Amino acid sequence: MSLAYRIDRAFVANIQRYSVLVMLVAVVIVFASISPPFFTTSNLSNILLQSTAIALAAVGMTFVIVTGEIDISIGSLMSLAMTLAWMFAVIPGAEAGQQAGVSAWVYPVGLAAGLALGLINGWMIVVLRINSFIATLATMFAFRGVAWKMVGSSDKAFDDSPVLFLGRTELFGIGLPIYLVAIVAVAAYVVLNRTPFGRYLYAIGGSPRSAIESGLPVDRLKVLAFGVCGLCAAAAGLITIGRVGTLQAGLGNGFEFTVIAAVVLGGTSLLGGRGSIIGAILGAILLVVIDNGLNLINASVYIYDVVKGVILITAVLIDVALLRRLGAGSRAA
Amino acid sequence: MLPVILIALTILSITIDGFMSAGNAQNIMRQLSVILIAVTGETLVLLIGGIDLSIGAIIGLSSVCGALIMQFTGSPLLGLLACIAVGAGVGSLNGLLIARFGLQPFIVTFGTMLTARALGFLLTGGRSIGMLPKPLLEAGRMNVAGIPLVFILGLAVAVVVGYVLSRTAFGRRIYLIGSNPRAAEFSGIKVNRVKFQVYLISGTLAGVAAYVFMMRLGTASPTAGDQLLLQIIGAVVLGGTALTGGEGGIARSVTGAVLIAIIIKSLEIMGAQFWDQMIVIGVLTALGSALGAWLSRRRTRETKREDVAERIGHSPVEKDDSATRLRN
Repeated sequence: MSLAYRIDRAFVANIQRYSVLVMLVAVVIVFASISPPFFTTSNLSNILLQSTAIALAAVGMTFVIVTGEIDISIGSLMSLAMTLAWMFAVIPGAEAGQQAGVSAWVYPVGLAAGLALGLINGWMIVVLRINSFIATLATMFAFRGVAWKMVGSSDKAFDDSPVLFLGRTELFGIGLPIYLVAIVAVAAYVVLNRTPFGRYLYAIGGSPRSAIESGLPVDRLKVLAFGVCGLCAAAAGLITIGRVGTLQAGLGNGFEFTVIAAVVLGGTSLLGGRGSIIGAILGAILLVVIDNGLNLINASVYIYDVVKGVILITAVLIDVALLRRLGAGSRAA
Repeated sequence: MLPVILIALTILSITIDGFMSAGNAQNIMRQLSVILIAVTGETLVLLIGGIDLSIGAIIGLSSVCGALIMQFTGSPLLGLLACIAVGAGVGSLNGLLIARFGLQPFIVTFGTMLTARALGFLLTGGRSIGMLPKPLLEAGRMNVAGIPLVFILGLAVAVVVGYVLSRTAFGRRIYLIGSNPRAAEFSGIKVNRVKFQVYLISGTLAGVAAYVFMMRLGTASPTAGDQLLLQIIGAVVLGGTALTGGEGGIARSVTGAVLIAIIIKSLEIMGAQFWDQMIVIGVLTALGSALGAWLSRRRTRETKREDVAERIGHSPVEKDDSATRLRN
């Protein structure tokens, strides 16, 4: 192996690992040079705050995708979990008016509901043996339908209630959700990379057969991964309703695809076995930067998705090309 | 699946007044027309073990382009050509990225879904387009022997594709690629070429579906296919075509689509809200695929080794069976 080859290989490996960061920096430089208001402290912190819900859900989604499964129900799951939390925590008597008093119970109940709904997804996949795309497609419909049935078409507004605490509190000038995402990201990184649980998840996605034959409790691990995904989606929901200040049945419509796009941009393979928490978070930030920057340069709203679609496919193309060069061709596609 | 439909029809015709009336039947047929065409394309894609999420967006973009051409030229024929061209264009882009560059179908078709949908919005500014040529609308309302013309068109497409799939070498290649891509490669099939063709066909059929959509409703809109995508995938899966590829067929998808259409219609008649429909479709999709998975497990459960294989989502023994069956 010549030195030049080894340097080249190391170079390619690094670009492959950090491609989302390269893209993010490039997009930031482009927007910063076209639009002066883009690169200001207030706008950048706004971007970070906006990306928290996507980033949090993307962290949870990474647990599922690493095992080679997928969860497309999280938008509906989030809506239903928040609805259940609202029903439980609403203070009787306050229901009649538009502005409902809601106790701090929304937090534990919302998270518990998210965990439970995620476990239901996992249970369908390992016990009923339904393909995860189909199972979560089914719950995507069913969860959303139940949420609509409970909430109806009217918005539930919160005012002065503890629900707003998470979304609207600042600590040292930085929004609370940003701290939350940072803590969850570190925890998730440690769990996924430094504990047996995380390594087992990678093992299941990398080679399902060897995972089973080496005696891993594959089913239980998968159910747990879906539980983590549901929990994170519910936390993302809590951030969202806290920031927006209303609950509606349409909450999180299309959210699942944004989150999956963030995870994939971050370099996680949908085939399983390869994934990165930091990548997922950077992917979420990248998607929000694109929205924000295009908004600042007054681009047509309709162009946003064109840009996102093109960037997503380009990122995957580059990823596959780089992996081929690294000689991992068979795992790349 | 056919007995299920017959049982459902019997129960519904007894319990719901006027369910078996000619008017209601025509209504269901009209609703089915677009889905029948789109479902055939998705079935081919699932059979080779892929997925096409862009079908709904292609229907939207094609209908918009076709409508604009028709407004401009007044010619329904040019409109049809435009629909087909757009569908084939997006479909071949999907095929190129998946077959030539080896990207994952989920991501590719998700990307083209976003892009095609947004392009439709860009072209129309988010509005729907009316004022389509008269002959088109008249054809859309026409009945032949009491059966809506659009339904006949949809059924004709399904029959032709079904014939190609079950009676030609191309169809057998699709099954073989889905059940065992390696065996397909070793037996000299140009796997990537067939994959490309399948995505091309799926996109083209979505273009045709967009044209029928315009015939039926007299409008075009970038969101035309948004509601259809999940119903299409739901119909294919409920019909019993496996997401893992190699198992299923057009007839099954058609029965799946019919079942969903009947259920939606009867829920409508019973005055159920749309959220009740969502819950019912969700539960049915889950039950249908759980049943399908159980049946296919029962068929293959013989030794411990196979059970291990199933748990990881592959059933090599069954797949080898189908491969030899196809060759004989």
